[in-house]
Amino acid sequence: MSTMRIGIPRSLFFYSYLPFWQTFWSELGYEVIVSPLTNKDILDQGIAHSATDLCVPVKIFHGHVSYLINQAVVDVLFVPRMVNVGTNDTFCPKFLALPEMINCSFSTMPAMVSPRIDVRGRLQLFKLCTDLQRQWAPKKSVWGPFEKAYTAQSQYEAQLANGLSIDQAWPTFAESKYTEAKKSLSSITSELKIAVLGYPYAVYDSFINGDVLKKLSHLGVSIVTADMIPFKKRRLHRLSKDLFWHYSNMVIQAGVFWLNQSVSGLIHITNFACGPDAMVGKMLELACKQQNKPLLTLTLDEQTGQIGINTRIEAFVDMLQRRIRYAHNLPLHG
Amino acid sequence: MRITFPYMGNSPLVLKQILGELGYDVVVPPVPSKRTLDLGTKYAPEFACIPFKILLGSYLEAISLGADTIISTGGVGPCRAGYYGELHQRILADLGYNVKVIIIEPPLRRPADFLHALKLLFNERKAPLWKLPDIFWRGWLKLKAIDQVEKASHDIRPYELNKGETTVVFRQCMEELDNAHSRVEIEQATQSSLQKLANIAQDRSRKPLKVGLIGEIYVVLEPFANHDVQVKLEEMGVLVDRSIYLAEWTQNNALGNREYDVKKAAEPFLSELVGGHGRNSIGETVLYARRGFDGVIQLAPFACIPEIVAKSILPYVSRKLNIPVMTLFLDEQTGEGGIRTRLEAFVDLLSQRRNKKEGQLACVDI
Repeated sequence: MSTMRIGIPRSLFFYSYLPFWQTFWSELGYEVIVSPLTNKDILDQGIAHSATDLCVPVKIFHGHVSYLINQAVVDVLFVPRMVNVGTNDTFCPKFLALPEMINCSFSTMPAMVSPRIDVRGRLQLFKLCTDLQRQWAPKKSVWGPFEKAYTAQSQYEAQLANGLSIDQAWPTFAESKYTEAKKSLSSITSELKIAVLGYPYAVYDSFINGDVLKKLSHLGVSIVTADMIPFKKRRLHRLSKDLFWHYSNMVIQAGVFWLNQSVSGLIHITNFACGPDAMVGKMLELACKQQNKPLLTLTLDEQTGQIGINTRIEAFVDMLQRRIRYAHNLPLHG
Repeated sequence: MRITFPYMGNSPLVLKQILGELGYDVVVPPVPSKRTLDLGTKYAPEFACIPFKILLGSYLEAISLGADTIISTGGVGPCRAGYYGELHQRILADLGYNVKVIIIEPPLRRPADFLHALKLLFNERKAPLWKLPDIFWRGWLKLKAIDQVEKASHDIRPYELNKGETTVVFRQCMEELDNAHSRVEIEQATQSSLQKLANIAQDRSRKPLKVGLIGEIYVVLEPFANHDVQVKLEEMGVLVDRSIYLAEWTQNNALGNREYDVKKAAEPFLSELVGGHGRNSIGETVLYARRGFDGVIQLAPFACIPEIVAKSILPYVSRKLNIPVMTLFLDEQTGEGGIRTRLEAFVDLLSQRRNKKEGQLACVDI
């Protein structure tokens, strides 16, 4: 029997947990197919296959799934149901129902692996992996693959916390056009430090956000993100009542963390009609107002043009520089 | 303590009575209007759902009437409604209003917060402790009576001979119930209301189409938010079954989630709890299909996460079970004309479908 091919769509949980699942499946003897960087075609496919009211990352996810089914023709599709990763909060409801939404949207589907990921700690994760191994690779052992996957994930997170960008920390993130060597994000020493906050699938999908990170580093800004804060440090900045969503808590806690670390300003990348972000955005706005720091909210959807994003970022950076050079009490809103 | 509360459907009649009898100065928020929504939209985040905006607007209106304390509900998500209280509080504080927001969290999931809220609430009451059970029990009876009368009105409206009569009578019934406070009065008001409704001239030979109304609780229960969809449909001669009534919902959800049949019906299509009424929307559609309804209308606030999830699964349910489903997303931009046009088109479709099923030729008006 030839090796089975498992497809992992490049969106949503992808940016946070790819190292684990890529290692795990390839160690179990699967050929792991990762869909390419988001492009126009994938976006169009996604829009065609999903409900109109969904947010653009979920549409893009549909597009990647469509690519994996129709172009890469994978044997197995990996769409986990992300529920809880032991932080006492759940993922956005769209993550919770992802397998069903994908199932309802495509007429022909390969076999789908959709484990319900509700794990608190390493032991439960191991148990989940054992179940997966028994079902999908009964002849292999689970120990080796699990250990390797777990190590890969821990290393990845540690490297992010050290200030590496995701494509330096895990090579699969860097593909085709992305391979050009980049400086480590935090190695640029500049008077301007901006925190770029948002869900991983909004911040790291360079197609949909017009490659904000690159644009900012070309402008000579040093960037910090939510991933650069170790989990325990971030949790010191919890709200009086936590939000319900995993990534939202990450963004708001990171926001407060970086505000205390004297960044020049905050950029919040969000998607059109994102439910949790309606709350997060307002919280960030209030936090920034308290600290007298400027905030730029970029709301992105499938209609957003690159030029519009560029203009706004340049204007924002200009404004921050002027604030530093000439006065510290310029108004917050331009 | 001048206290106010979230405005939703018929519930103000009950909350007003309970809080009043506890000895508070109650500020009943005005019936939501265009002005309420404008106020809410102005200060709420752009993508907050329409219930959030209406409530914020109605708090602001109540504050201008002198309220200094707001009771709100909490929750544990993953629907945003559980965070309304927290964010409303912050927004109001940012606007410079000095109001206290008492957030009542679910007693079993967050017992400490729940007790703390009760303490805040009961500390300043004037009613003696032994009266509390009676006060709450009569509130509950009234809520049930209101729902009973409202249900009766929905059973009658599609058959009424003089269009609009039921609505007029129903309004009188609500006034009567509003003035009923003791157990006997509530019982009498209920009976006389039901009698009044039964006296409306009806044509029982009609065979109305049957439509189920599902979706997010606030927009389903609050006529202002949904442009009175239910009454509009009923005046077109459609029998509408609403999936949510407040008394039933409270009974099923106050302590735990008990809607087992709905959950079971949703199971094959959506096995995970997605917050709000997402899974219920799927389950109820399945149940309506089994009960032989002609169609289902889903009401949802724009950008409501659980309902979007439901909406992306509903077309599949609709195909599998052969029941038409229409989704209406509502926000501050929604116009009454648009809603009416879509309802008319949907009802047309349903009646042609039925004619076809019964072997009659579709009647086409030119």
